[in-house]
Amino acid sequence: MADLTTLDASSTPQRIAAGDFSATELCRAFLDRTAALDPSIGAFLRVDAEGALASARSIDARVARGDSLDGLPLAGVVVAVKDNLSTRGLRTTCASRMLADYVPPYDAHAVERLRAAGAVILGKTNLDEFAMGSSTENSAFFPTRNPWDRARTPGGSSGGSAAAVAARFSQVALGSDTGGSVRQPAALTGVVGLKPTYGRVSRWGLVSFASSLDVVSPMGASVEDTALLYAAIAGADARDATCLRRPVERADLSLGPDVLRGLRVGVPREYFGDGLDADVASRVRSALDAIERAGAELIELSMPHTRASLATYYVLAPAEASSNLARFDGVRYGLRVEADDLRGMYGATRDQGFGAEVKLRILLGTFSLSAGYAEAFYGKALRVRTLIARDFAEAFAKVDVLATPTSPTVAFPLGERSGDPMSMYLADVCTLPPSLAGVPAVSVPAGLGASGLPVGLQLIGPLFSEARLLAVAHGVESLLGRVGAPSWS
Amino acid sequence: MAVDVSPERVRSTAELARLALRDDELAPLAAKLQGILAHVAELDAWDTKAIPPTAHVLDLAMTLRDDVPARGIDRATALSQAARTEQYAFAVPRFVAE
Repeated sequence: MADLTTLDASSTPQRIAAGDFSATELCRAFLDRTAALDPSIGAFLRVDAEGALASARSIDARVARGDSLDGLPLAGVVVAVKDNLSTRGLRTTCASRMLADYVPPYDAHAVERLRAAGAVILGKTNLDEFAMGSSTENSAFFPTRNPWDRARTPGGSSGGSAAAVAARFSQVALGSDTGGSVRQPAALTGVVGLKPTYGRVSRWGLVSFASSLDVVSPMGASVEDTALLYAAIAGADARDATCLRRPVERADLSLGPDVLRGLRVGVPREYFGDGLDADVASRVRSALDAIERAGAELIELSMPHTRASLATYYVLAPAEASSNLARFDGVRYGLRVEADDLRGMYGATRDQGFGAEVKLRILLGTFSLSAGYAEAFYGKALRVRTLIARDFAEAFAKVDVLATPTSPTVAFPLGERSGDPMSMYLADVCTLPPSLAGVPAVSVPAGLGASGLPVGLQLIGPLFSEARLLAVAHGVESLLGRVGAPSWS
Repeated sequence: MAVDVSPERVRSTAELARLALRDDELAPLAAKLQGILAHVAELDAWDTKAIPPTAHVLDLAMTLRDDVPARGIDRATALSQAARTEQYAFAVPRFVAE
């Protein structure tokens, strides 16, 4: 039998229904590959072999009974789930000592949707603690390595999910994207990552980081696989008051590169300035040239508030995080360090439970919300956020999509930026503006740079335009080709 | 807004955040916060006097779910992840003087 771990998610349900292989065989192929190779990558914090095989057997039982798989768009598809999404009965740690032994009593909405669609959840993937980071080095347990070069990071914070897809430990993966945490690792590992419009996917069961920015987001080896996962998780959920009730449009991927003909593609010059690696600039320019040759019109434009995004984000996200993480107090769940009085217990628990970056961000957020500073920092950032969102609204009056680099650099060496927060934060400089504006954005591979490492192209669309954005991304993918799998294995 | 972040300022902020930092953590954290806040001060360059704040990116009216009774998690499940419980409640150190 051919290597099942190279199989696309999109064709999996039909192949299982046709009897080409069983869901159990597919699941075992991924379990075996992960067991053999993940020790050198560290994509997973834990593999749930028993649960995965039980899900696979239930699909096989349906096939054996002669039941249709038509209502199960992810039947047998092997999925990895970031470990900040709650999974009933399966530890959910957020890569933090604070939640090292936490077992959720319920599934996140996105996880419920996966199970209802017939997916096989292989395990929980590594991340920067509480999704705070851009390299997956802030995990309290171990860093994840990039399958393209194991001396480098896979990006973050969804680095475990990105590495799992790139290394073919799973067919698709769920991450979360607050300021680029799915798009940036997708770019650095040569896979596709979509951040939907804010509110498009319920945040129920996603451990909160920055609630006005957090979006549960799909990743895959191809645009088609990513679109499949997106369709399964998007849609209304009454348990999240910010979740949209709008119907979810299906992406039409039948046009291929023809979708690019006549498309107005905005190229904002602020994304191509200082700090962009020559290797990345060259690959992105080549991709834009190819898009233009396919019939699109490239329109250079300016989005002047782009350079305010980093400062805006690093006020708003820590402010929200400092509030959200107040719940970790040793009382209802998670770590508890005993002390003589309540305040002592709170302080000791939070000091021992949180890692350095999480503490830094809590302090930053607490400071910017404190008396005397709240209007100057938090209030100011909320107003600049309006200016950034207006840049996008004005741009989309002139163009259909925007195209930028996803990350200013290719994957960087482990340890290179871990001592300097500002240099780490710059890794997200291209992905922060769409997060602040709430608009959807997808990273697609733009080929390999001269370094032999993947480069990502970010495509950004207006609010609620996921269907069209995925069709455009599919056109670009058809044009540029996929980067394939890294050769390390 | 330029801010001078001293180790003492870090200590008082940590108390607000209920973080029990050690003395040797204060100066390195002050330096990191100072560096980030120096960058954040660049926001002052933008004139926002006439700009409304964005608390939410979508212009949505608050929606209410249907008023239908639904069962939440039961008490035993709610207590199952707590480090200390007593009878039917979460247990915490004494915080009210007798």
